Amino acid sequence: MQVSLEQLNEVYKTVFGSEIQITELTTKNDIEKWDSISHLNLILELMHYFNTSFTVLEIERIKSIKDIMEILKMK
Amino acid sequence: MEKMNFKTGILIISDISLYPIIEEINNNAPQLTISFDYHEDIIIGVNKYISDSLSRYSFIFIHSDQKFHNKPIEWQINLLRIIDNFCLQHPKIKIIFSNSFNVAYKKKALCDSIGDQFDIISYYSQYLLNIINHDNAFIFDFVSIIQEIGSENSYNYELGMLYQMPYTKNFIRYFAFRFSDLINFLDTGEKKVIILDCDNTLWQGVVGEDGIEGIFCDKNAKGLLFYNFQSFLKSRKEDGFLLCLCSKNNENEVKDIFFNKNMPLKWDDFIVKKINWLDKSENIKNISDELNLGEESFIFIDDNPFEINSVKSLTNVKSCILFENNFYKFIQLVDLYIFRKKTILPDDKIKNQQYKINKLREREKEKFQSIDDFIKELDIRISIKVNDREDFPRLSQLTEKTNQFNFNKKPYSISELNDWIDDDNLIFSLKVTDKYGDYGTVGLILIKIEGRNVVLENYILSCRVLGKKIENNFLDEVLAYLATKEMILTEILFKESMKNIPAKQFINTNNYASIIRTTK
Repeated sequence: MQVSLEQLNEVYKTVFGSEIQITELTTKNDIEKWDSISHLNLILELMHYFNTSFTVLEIERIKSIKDIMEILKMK
Repeated sequence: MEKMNFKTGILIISDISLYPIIEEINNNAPQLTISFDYHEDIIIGVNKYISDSLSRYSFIFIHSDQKFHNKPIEWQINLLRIIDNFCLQHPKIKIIFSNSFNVAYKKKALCDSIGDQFDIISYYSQYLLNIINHDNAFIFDFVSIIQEIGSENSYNYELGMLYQMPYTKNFIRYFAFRFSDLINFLDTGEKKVIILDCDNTLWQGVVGEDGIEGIFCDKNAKGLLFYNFQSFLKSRKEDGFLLCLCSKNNENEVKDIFFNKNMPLKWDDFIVKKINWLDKSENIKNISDELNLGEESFIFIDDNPFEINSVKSLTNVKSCILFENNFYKFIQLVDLYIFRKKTILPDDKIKNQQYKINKLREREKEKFQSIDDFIKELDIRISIKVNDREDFPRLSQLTEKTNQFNFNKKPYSISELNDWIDDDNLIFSLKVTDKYGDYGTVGLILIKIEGRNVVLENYILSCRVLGKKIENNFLDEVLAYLATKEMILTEILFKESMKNIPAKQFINTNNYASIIRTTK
């Protein structure tokens, strides 16, 4: 699956609010609101947006934009 | 726990993590007047109703009279017991209860044996029945959501394992839509008025552009959705909703449609009509003034998103619904709680309405000296149709159900009625209205033609219209019609029964006895 930063940005704005701006280097530590509750929201939104699902391991592994891109590319 | 203020808060007892769902409800239902709070006192979530019960201050602990056991079914049953008690002890608090358990327990994995599965469901159902018998308890139909979008689209077990939140975004969205509808319904009170746009809402087409020929509202493909929608609205009217029109059109053109098209809704079904070029929010304010009803009790339906948004922002109408020419959306729309009444009427709602009107008629009756005066004042109008196949379903029902004024108790199916007129015989059907309302189709006369001589095979009148001189008027009209065709009534078939005494009285008091042929 092809994934662009624009697409991920869109997902992040939906979950974390319109003021969020991500780069390929953004990680969990950069976004204050990225706690366990919003992580669930993020996963839900990613699955919905890209019409896919993640394994339990993949959900646990996602800690940065790079992780998401790698996982989605494999789909 | 003591601090909990039930009047303003919502307590949710759930064994799943609720955060994404509540967030979705907040995002997608800004019209909701209840705000959800993450405060521990208000919401118990994240598998908490089980762990919470260990705390002696928890809702469950306080309301439970016994200790919990290990099996999930026992947890569930115990929870039902608590809710049952709670409903009883707090009649002013509304309890919403979902039937999600039914879905969960289709999973055989949760049962000890195959039979267990059914035992559990029936055991559980008994408790559920107890709960819904309380006036303050409401069932949220969770199962129908799963049925509509399908269980594969609803569940994500990975998330269930990790977060105790086993649902997909699709499910959450639809859940939030349905749940906020229910909360809105419980919170803001019953809706009373439905305000409707005309073009592309009540019918397919735009009167001003397409003309009357380009308007569709019938049982053919183009008008079917609109025909169904009007029938739905008519049923809402019978349940007590008031219908109003609010349309940017020329009034005469809209009126023409109602008088020239055979649609379920008639011009007079609408209590207030605002057909002009004023802003819709302006018109809605005027409707509110005229009816002396608050805008909160209005439902506004329009096919134009611009009108929806403008009414939403400029008035207090909370339920603004975009009408779309799409059957799936249509089914969702008619399924909304806002179109329901909170109190459940007896099965036959229409009759209930008619009985109410009858009460009014009875009261009126007392005011008049004689029955003739009363009948005159009722302004009864009858209309008679000959061989109208559209009426046959109702006529067939009359032959089955009517007992008192029925010359020969013999049921006719719709196809038998069709055969009857195909054999060149006649069926007269009777419609009656009076100043209080429409009785609908309430009578029929079957005439068998044998050359110039004709036989009255059957005469049926619904008991709702008896005693208003309609018995004579209907038959006189039919005889007059036959006379114009140079036909003479030579025989009336009659079969006496225990129940048709009013019919027998009618024959005896009129001069038909000489041509009566009694059948067995």
